[in-house]
Amino acid sequence: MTETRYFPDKIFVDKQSLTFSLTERILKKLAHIPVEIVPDSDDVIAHFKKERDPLGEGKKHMLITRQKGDFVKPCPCTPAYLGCNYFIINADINCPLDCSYCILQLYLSNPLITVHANTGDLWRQLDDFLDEKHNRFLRIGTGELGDSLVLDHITARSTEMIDYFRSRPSALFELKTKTLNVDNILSARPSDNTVIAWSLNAEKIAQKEEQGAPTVRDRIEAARVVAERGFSVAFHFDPLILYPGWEKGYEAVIDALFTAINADCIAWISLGSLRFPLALKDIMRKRFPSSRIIYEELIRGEDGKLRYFKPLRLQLYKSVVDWIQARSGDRVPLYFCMESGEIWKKVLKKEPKGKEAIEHYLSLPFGYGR
Amino acid sequence: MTISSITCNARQGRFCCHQGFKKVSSCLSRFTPKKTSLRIGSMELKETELHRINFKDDRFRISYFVELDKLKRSIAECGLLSPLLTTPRDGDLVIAAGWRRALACRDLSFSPVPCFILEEPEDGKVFLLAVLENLAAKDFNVLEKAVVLKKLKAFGMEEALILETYLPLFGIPQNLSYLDDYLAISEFDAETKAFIHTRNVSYPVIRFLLELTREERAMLIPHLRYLGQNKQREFLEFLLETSQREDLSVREILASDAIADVIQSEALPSAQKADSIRLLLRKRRYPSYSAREEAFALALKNMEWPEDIVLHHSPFFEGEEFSVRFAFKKDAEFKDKVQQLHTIAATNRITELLKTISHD
Repeated sequence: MTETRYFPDKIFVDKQSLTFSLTERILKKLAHIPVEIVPDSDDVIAHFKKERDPLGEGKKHMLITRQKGDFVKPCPCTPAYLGCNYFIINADINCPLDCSYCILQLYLSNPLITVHANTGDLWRQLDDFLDEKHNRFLRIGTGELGDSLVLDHITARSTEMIDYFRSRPSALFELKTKTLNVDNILSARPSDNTVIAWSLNAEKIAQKEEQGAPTVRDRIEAARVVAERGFSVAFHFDPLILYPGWEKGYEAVIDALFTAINADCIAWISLGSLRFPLALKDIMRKRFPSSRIIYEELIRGEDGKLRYFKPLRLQLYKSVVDWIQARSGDRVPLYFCMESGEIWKKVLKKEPKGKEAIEHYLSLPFGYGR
Repeated sequence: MTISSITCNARQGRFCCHQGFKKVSSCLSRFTPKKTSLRIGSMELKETELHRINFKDDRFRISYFVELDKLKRSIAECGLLSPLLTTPRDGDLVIAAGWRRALACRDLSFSPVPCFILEEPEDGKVFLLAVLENLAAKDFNVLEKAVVLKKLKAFGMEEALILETYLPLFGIPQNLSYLDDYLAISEFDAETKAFIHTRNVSYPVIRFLLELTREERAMLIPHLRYLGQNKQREFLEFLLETSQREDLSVREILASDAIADVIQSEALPSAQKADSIRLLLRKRRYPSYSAREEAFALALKNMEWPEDIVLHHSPFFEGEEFSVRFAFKKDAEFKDKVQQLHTIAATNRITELLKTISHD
């Protein structure tokens, strides 16, 4: 396995965040990197937004600041399609990997790799949130507005989070990554309610569209090691992308996955096809001119986002599900991210009544909801 | 007397054209505008013969597409009420602001003309004055913004200052890639600029034009000029995306049989030709979806679906629902439509239709 770990060219520290212990830990760890203390992080963000490629420049710089809003939010999902009742923790924002299809290019107004260092507030907000939910089962994770592990060699957040959720067994905590940055995970004691998940794709898509990310084969190997350590693992085939030769590409990855990892260690596999708001198309065209993925037959879905014309999605999903089930039977729960009831029914032969039903379905293997 | 009071008086008609100007001008001596952040040189108001103006020197010109008829009529009747702003360069006067007025006067051989003569050696400062003078009177269009940004850069203004000050002033997002786009727009050939001006082309369409070569634009503009803004955008989007998708040049796509037939057709009027090409490009860009639409239309035709009852599928066939719409005025009409639907429902024609467009 080979991996180049991320280190920023420069660190900006919001003056009010200097005294947080996470800030001190990062600055100690990255003592070789230039640091600038800034009175107001908004000025730094405004400066980067004027660059020709704010996103590309932002990725080279880290901002340590405080989360002024809520750390914990419901996953926004998308209107008119089925959600899964997931909750997200916005601890670190943005991602040094540069995937052509990444929604964060459009979604985030701050282009810098941002670490929210007020972890005291994070724990307090998580306590309040989980108490308010009266210890009902829920799924929660950090991988929505950034990769959960890409900064872990700098922040060591993963172990703190795993330890926190160990005492909160009603929550199923997920770390979602494309990286091989699992040293901290491997040194942590496995936890029944933590799942380490990898985003997978066809190797060709990973090479062409996921700049900075390790090969898919290496991701599967990292997952194998983590599973061997005793953690549950999960996989997200998202976004599934149509390209010439997609059938061979996805079948090969699924084959490699089940050759390396016993299906019983897999908590779930999610599937989602390429989808994005119209405005992302211009960004992708500009930032990734050699990418061809936006030129497939993408129509406007019921949520206004572009997605593959339904017969193409059905063909893609049915093939991938067939390959997965041919290797694992029904042992791995499969679910769709942001898809319609019709797709669920036609591909998975299930008709979930809503997001609570999907949440319930995914919780069963963990002994919840029985 | 101040400059503003002269303008004010002139507009109120107290001074009659040149006579009035002479009266005002006699009140004036050389003056230096006060409290300006530009710190420009001194200015003098003078009557100047048109031949002293070098019309070939357009270093400060912003608008290249000007409509002069109304202004010429006004000057012919009332004279030139607002002086030009000029500055001496190489023995001639160069127009800083008032190009439209100067061109109208030239067409009318209206000379002499009132001119402010600005003694300021720095082109950058004169141009800024011209920009601010123009901005006070009107909003710039895309082409004018492009010219201003190009000239600000050419006169040595730093990118950072343009970004900080002038992009927001023109309502352009403060990002260097926008500046790049506008600088590229300023380099468009004359035909493209004329098309943008005459058809008031929208910025999203201009962005597509930036992706084309001059030769490609020359091939397309004769068709685009017959389409509205949305259809222009669609035409170019379908074309450029097909070009990427099929790895073919714009020329190759336009030369394909179906499109070439339309282009060469002598029967089709230009506007219909342009729209037909747009539809052919759409079909080629979205082959599966277009095939499904055609199958749906054909199925309706084959089942002899009544023409005055509209059966809609969901947008892009994404949803599972269909809707039926009909209009009626009288009870009998309503009953007739319902009866027609009842007849259809009694057969298996709807089942057949759904099968035709099934995604399974």
